[in-house]
Amino acid sequence: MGKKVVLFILTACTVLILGIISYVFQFTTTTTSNIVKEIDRNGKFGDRQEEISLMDGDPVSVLVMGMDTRAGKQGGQTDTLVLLTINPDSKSVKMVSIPRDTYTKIEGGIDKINSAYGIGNVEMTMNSVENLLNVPVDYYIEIDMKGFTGIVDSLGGVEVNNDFEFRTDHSDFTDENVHFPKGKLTLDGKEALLYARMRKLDPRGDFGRQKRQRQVIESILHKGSNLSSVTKFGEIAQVVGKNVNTNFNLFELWMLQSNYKEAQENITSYEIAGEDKTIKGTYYYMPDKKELDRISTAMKNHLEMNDQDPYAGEEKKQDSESRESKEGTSEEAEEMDGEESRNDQEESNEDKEKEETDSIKGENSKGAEERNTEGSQEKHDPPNEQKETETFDSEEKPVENSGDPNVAQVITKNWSPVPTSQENYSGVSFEKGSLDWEEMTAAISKGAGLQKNDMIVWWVSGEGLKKVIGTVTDKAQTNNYRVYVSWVDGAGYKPTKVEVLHENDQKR
Amino acid sequence: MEILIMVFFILSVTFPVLHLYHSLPWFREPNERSNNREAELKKWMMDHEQEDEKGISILVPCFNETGILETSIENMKSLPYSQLEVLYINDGSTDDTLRYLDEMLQLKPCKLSTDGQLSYEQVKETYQSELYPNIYVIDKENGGKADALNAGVDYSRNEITITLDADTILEDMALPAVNDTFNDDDVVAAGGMVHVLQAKSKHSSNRLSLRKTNMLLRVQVLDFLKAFYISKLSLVRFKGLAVISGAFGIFRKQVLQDVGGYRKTIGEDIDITLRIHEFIAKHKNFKICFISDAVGYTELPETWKDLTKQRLRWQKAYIDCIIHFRSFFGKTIFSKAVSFFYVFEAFLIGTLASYIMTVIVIVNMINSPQDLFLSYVFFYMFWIFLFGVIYDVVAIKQGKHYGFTFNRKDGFRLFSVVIFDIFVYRFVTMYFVMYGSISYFFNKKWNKVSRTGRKYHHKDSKNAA
Repeated sequence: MGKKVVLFILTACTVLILGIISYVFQFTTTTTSNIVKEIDRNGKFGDRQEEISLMDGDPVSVLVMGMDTRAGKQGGQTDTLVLLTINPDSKSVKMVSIPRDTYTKIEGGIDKINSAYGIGNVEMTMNSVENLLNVPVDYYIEIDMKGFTGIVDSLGGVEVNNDFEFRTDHSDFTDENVHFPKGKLTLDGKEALLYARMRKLDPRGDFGRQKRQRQVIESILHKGSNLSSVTKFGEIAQVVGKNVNTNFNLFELWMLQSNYKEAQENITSYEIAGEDKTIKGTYYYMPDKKELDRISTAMKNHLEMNDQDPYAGEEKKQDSESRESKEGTSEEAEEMDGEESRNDQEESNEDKEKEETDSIKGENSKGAEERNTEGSQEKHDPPNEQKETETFDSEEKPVENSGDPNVAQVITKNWSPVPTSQENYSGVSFEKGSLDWEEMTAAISKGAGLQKNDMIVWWVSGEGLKKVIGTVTDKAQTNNYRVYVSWVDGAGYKPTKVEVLHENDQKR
Repeated sequence: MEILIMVFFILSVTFPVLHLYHSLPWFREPNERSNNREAELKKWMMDHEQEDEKGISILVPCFNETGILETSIENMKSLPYSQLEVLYINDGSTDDTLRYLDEMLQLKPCKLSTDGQLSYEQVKETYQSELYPNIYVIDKENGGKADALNAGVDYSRNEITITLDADTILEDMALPAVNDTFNDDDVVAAGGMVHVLQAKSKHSSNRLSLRKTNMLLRVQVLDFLKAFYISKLSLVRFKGLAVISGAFGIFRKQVLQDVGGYRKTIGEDIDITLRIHEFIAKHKNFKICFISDAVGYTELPETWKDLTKQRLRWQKAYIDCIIHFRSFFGKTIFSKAVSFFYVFEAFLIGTLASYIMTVIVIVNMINSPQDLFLSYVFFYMFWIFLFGVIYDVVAIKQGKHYGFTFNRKDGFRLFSVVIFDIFVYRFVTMYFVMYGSISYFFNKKWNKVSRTGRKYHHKDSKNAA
C-alpha cells in the first residue's frame, strides 16, 4: 500500500510540474505574440535601449501611446502621448504629457506629433518624441481603448481626484451619459476612458484632459505596482490581448514590476506650455521652447544621462507641476539648448511666427538650414547671434552632455559647401554612385578631414529631407567620425558638425 | 475553454505518467514473476519430470489459415511440456485448411467427450493426429472466433485453457511459466507477453531484431513493448487489465464455463476479460495476472492497409464493449480499477479527447494568427517529442529488464523508429481511434487481417539446432 501512495504522489508531482511548465510556456508564447512587439528603430539615441538593463535598475523612459482605435485595428492616431521616466534609485517617476497637436518635426516634415503614427507607426512616434523633447525613448506601450478599459477593469478600477465636475452627455466622442462629480472617484474601465478622453467640456481644454490622463496613469501605476501574483498578471495579459503592444519583453515587464515598483510612490508631472496657433486653417499647438528644454533637462537628469548642464540641478528643484507661460527670454532658452541638441523646433517656431504664410515644408527646410548654418557667419538674423556665440564657445571642445559616451570630441567649424552640379535637387537620394551620393560623401570627407579615397562610409542615415548623418572611418579604421551634413540650397552639401568617435558604432 | 483544455491536458498526461512510474520494477507485486528460478534448473527439472505440471489445453481457432498453419504446428509439436493437448478448431474454413491440417498431422477421426456447458455451431467431425497424439482437430460449421473458442473450451480436457491466434507461436519456457503462475489457485486468468513475430531474433542473446522488418513493423514492435511492458503491466498491478490479448490468453477452463463462454462479438478478447472481471467482483480472492515470462510471438500486419483493418477492429471492439458493459462500468466506475481505467483512460482520454484535441487544434488554426498557431504547434511538438521519447525509452528499458534486448546494430533503426513513432505513428493511431469509433456504429464487420504466408518455423528450427 505504501508503494501505491508513493506512486500517486510521484504521478501527481510530475503532472503538476508538467502542467506548470506548459502553462508558463503557453502563457509566455501567447502573451509574447499578442503583446510584445519588438521594433527596429534608428533613433537619435542609438542603441541606448539595448544597453540599459532593467535587471540592474537603470533608469528608463517609457512612452505611453493611447490610440483612438476602438478595437485592435491597425492605424488610428495617438490620442494620448505621455512620456515617463522611471528612476528606481531615486524612487521617482517623471511624467510629461505631450499635447497631441504639438507642432514638431516629423521625419523631414513638420506636423502635429500625433500624425507621426500615421506616417511611420510606433517607430516614428518614438523618434518624434525624442526629437521634440531631446530625451531618449527606450520603451513604448501602445494601448487602444479596449486595452485601456481592460487593464483598468482587471486592476479593479482606478482612483482619481476629480477637480472639475462634468457630465459626458451630448459630447461628440461618446453617447454614454456619465456624471463625474468633484472629489475622489473610483472609475471602472469605461468610466476611466471617458474621464481620460473628455476635452470639450473642460475650460482648461487639453491641459485639463492631460491632467486627468496623468491621474489615471498614476493610479494604474500605483495599482499595477501592487500586483502580487503571476496569475493576476496573466489575467491582464489575457484581457488586453491584442489591444496592447509594447517592446518590453515578458522578462523586462517582470523586472519592471519587481525592480521599479517603488518608483511610483513619487510621481512628478509636467506639462508642455505653449500657444495655440492656426496655420492654414489647421490647429497646432506651439510648444514653448524654454519649457521643452526645462523638461528635457529634468528628464535627462532623471535618466542619469551624463548631462552636466548647470541648469539641471536647479531644474530638478523646481516645482514642475506649475504651468508656466512663455515668460523666459529666448536667450535663456537658447543657452540651455546645447549645440548637440539637434532640436529644430525652436527655429521653426520662430520662423513660423515671422512668416506664417510659408508652407510647412518650406518652414522646415528653412529652419533646418538656419540651424545648420550655425557657426557660419553668413546669417545675421538677430536671434541667431546669440546662438552663434553659444556655439562658438563650445566649438572644438569635448562635449560632455552629448549623451553619447562614444563621442570623444565635437567639432563645429565654418565649412564651406561642396559645390554642387545638381540642378534639380529633391532631397538626399542615398543611391550609391549617383551624383547626389558623390557630393554628399564628398561633404562627409571634407568634414572628417579625410581624403575621399581614404574613407570608408559605414553608415549614412537621413535626418529629414536635406540632412544626413554619416559614420565614416579612414581605411585603416583608426579614426572614426560621425559627420553631420546639410544641404544648402543653391550651394551644395556642407558639413555642419563632426563628432570624433571612440569607436565605430556602425561596424557590424 | 481554457479550463477545459487544462483539464484534458492534465487527464491525458496523468495516465501515461502514472503507468510510466507504475510499470517500473520497483512497483512490482510480490510473486509477480513466479518462475524466477534459474531457467536451467527449471529445464533440468522438466527434463527429469520433476515438475508438477498441470494440464494445459491450447486452443487455436482457424479460419482460412493455410498460410500460417505450418508455423503454428511446428511450434506446437516442439513445446517441451508433458501435460499438453492442442486443439485446432477449423471454423468452417472455405479454403483447404482442413486438408492442410490432415497433410501435416495425418488426421484420423476420433471420439472426443464434451462438457456440454457451452453452445456453438454444430461440430462436423473431430480428429486426432496420428503423428502427434496430443494434437486434435475439431471441424465445425462457421460461427466466428468466439464460437470456435466455445467449441474448443467444450472439447478441451485440461484445467488450464490457452487461447492462441493461428499466427501465434510460443517460446519454450512459456508453458512452464504459465504452470508456475497458475500454481496460485486464485489466478483465474492471465495475459501472456506478446512480441512481434517478424522481429523474432535468431540469436537467443538478444531476442528481438529489426533487421528484416519494415518501418511499420518496427514501430509496432515498439508499440507492443509500450503496451505490454508499461500499460498492461501497470494496469494489472492496479487489477485493472481490461484486455487479455486474444493472441495469447490463459484462463482456467472452469472460469470460462462459469462466465458462459465467449460472446459472439467483434472483440471477444476484451469481452471475455470484462466478463471475468464481473465474475471476480463476486469472488474477491480471484485475480488476473500478466505473465511477463510467458512469451509468445504473433504475426503483425506489414502493410498500412492491414494495419488499418486491424486497428479499426480493435477500436470497434473497444466501443462495442463500453456499450455492452455500460451498466457494469456505471456501477463500478469508482470502485473497480478496470472500470475506471476503461472508461477514463481508454474512452474519455483515448477516444473522446482525440476528437476534442483535433477540434481545438483546428479552431486554433483558424482563429489564431499564424505566429501564435505556430507557437502552439511548436509547443505541442516539443511536448510530444519529449514525452514520446521518454515513454519509448522506458519501454525499451523495460523490455531489456525482461530479457528482450535488441541487436546492437539496431541502435540507429531504433532511433529512427522512435522518431517515426512520435511524429507519424501516433497521429495515425489517433486517426484509427477516431475513425474506428465512428465506423463502429455503421459497420460492425470483422475485418480479418490477411496472413503474410511466411514460414517462420524453418528459421526457428535452425536456431534451435
